[in-house]
Amino acid sequence: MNSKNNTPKNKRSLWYRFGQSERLVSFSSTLVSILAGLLVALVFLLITDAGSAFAAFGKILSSGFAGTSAVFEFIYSSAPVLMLGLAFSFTYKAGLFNFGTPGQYISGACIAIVAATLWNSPWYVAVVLAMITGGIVGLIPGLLKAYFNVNEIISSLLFDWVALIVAFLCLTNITGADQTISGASLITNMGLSNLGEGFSASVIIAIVIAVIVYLFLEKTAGGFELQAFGSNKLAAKYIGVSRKKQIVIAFVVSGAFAGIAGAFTYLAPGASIYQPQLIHLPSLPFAGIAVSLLASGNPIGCIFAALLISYLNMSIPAMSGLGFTRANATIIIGIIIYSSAFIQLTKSWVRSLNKKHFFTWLKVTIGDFNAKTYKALTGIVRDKNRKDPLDDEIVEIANSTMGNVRYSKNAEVTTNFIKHKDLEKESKVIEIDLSPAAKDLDTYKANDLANEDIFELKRNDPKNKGGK
Amino acid sequence: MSIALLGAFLSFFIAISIPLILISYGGMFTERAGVSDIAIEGIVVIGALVGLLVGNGLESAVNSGFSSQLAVLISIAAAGIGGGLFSILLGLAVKRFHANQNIVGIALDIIAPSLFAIMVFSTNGQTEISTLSYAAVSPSSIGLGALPTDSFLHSLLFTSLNQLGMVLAIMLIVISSVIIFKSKFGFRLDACGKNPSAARSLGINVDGTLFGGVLTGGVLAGIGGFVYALIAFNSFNGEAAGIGFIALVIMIYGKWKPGKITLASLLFSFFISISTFASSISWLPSFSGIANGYAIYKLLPLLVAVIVLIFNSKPEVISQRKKVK
Repeated sequence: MNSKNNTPKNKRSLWYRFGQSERLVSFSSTLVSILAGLLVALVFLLITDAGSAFAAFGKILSSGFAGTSAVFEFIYSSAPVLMLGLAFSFTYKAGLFNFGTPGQYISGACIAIVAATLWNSPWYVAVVLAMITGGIVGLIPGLLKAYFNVNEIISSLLFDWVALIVAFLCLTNITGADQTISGASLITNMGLSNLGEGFSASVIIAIVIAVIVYLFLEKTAGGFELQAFGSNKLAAKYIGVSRKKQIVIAFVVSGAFAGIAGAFTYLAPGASIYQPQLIHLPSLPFAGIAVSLLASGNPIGCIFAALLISYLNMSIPAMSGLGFTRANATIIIGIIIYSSAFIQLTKSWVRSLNKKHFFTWLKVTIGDFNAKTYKALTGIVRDKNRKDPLDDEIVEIANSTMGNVRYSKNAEVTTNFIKHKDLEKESKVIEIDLSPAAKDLDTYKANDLANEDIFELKRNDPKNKGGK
Repeated sequence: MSIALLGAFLSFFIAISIPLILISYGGMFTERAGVSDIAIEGIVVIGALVGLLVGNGLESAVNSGFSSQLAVLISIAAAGIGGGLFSILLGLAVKRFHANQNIVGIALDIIAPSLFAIMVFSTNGQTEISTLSYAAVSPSSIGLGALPTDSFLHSLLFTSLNQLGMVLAIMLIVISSVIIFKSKFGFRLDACGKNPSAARSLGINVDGTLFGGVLTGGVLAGIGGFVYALIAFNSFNGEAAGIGFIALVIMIYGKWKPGKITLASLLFSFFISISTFASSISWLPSFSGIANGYAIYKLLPLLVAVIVLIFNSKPEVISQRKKVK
């Protein structure tokens, strides 16, 4: 795309350039995740009560914009979920999964409530205490992972229930039923109470923290070291990053953020009272995971994703009015997380749209159609004797991964997953990095996801042409 | 500790170990297929949901003369199908579309209780569903009506062990051990999970075998979830309170082998029984100075699980893997 005249016509099209922009493709695949969540939510609304399903779906879409106060409300109530998103991002970027954010959130909330009711401490002290407690609770799975290599997912999930029970014991014994928080213990609204009853400075603090986290991760050596293990273990070890230190730091900071989120939720003016109990984990921390995954762990992206989740949460009171449960809103978050896991697949799908090669994508992803289905979908009659150009494309890409490169124009299609039943040996699923950056190199990297093996292939190497 | 209480304790101890073993076996099958089974908690809830919905649906038929134990067996089958269908969501995502298994797992863990709440709410308008009142076998129906209610035998047999579904569950435990060690599928699952390339070179349908492993795991975990709900709750509200993750710890402790998993399940079912019976066992400290002191014992299985994890984790080795041609 250097000069317009030298570029082939098809590469000048808007669609092509869209497919080449990593950010736009990421953004579109995020939208696909959200749409999937909303569509499945609609299906469940229809199952529950077909009569008022569309009214409830309308509430999901419109509650956040029901008026000026609603707009302000969804913006300022995004603070806790943003902190939870940042908490998950911090470990996610380091290649770890902190599913212990519910536990850290509860412990932060617990200590903040105790500080506010029992000691009448000012809000900033309570928030700092919550941060420290969350950090300590986060430290435990971090230490276990660093020094005993305990699976951090299982240990952090177990500590969720430990924190839930300890918070139950703590609150029923210390504060009792009286949990009214007043005066200096409420987070300051900075004299802006006309923006909304529940407005507090927490949203501003959360956004500032998000920007700081972004600067730390992207612009400092410490942030680079933290992300090094997430992207390439071997390289990180080679440059001398201490794995143990990074794990502990990631978990402590993550826990601290989740603890702050707990304080932000229950110290906000007009906040609901925490009901100590032994069974249900709070659902907000899981929404935080959705926030982080929607933003692919990017802290700035988390701000917008948190606004979105907060917007969707605005519909909960209106939905209960229509006879639906809270679960109808929670399931959207679950589906969004589920579809976020398919990020590579959605990216390749979005790219296939722009290259007008959607059916190739479908074929390599879902599997081979039989001729009849193929005809019904594409209108093309497959002749067994004549080779299908789409088949060529697949064979080319499959060949290229076997070191037997016949790089053709067709193979430029950015297909992330290749599967072809006719090729016995090649029936492995292989991801080929055909991004613009990799195109400039002389080598392509193909990551075999199934085995996590990395091997390099020469492109256009005459020695490799025509068989092994 | 009275003799009847001891009987009740033993009854619960044996009864609760059966779903634990089943759920851990479910995790074992899934992990042998090379999928980390974080979704097991969700599968447990879905198994319980489907089983209880079908079981409650059959209640009117039972009242009009349909065999109650047959209804329980149908519910168990339904729970297995439900768990299997839900695990397809995991298997397809991970094995077919190569999605991140941890994220898919936690997503299914979130979806399952929401699905439970939605389905139960649309059925009976409540947040809970009662666990089959007709499932229990009464002493008189098997000719033990003369047994005094405070005797050891009565409390052992008719507190928690009084369900014929248990027999099916125990049979399933035996069958799945045989599948793992003696059947072609078990060997192939092992081969495909450990070295897919080698298995493929022998002409084994690797994807199909691994998917079969995930599906079998889902069926077992679903049945385990249903049996767990029958034993541990009077009415189930869709929160398994970490039982799935404890089952994962059991599986790790049992080194992914049926025999060791069974022993490890007994250990954990002992601690779960202690936490359930803590308030009625007199020689345990009662923490009378603390309100709701019984909740302290609920920490016991979780903390034991963490300790077990510490002693059963291998140090991480970061090394260059061998290149694949």
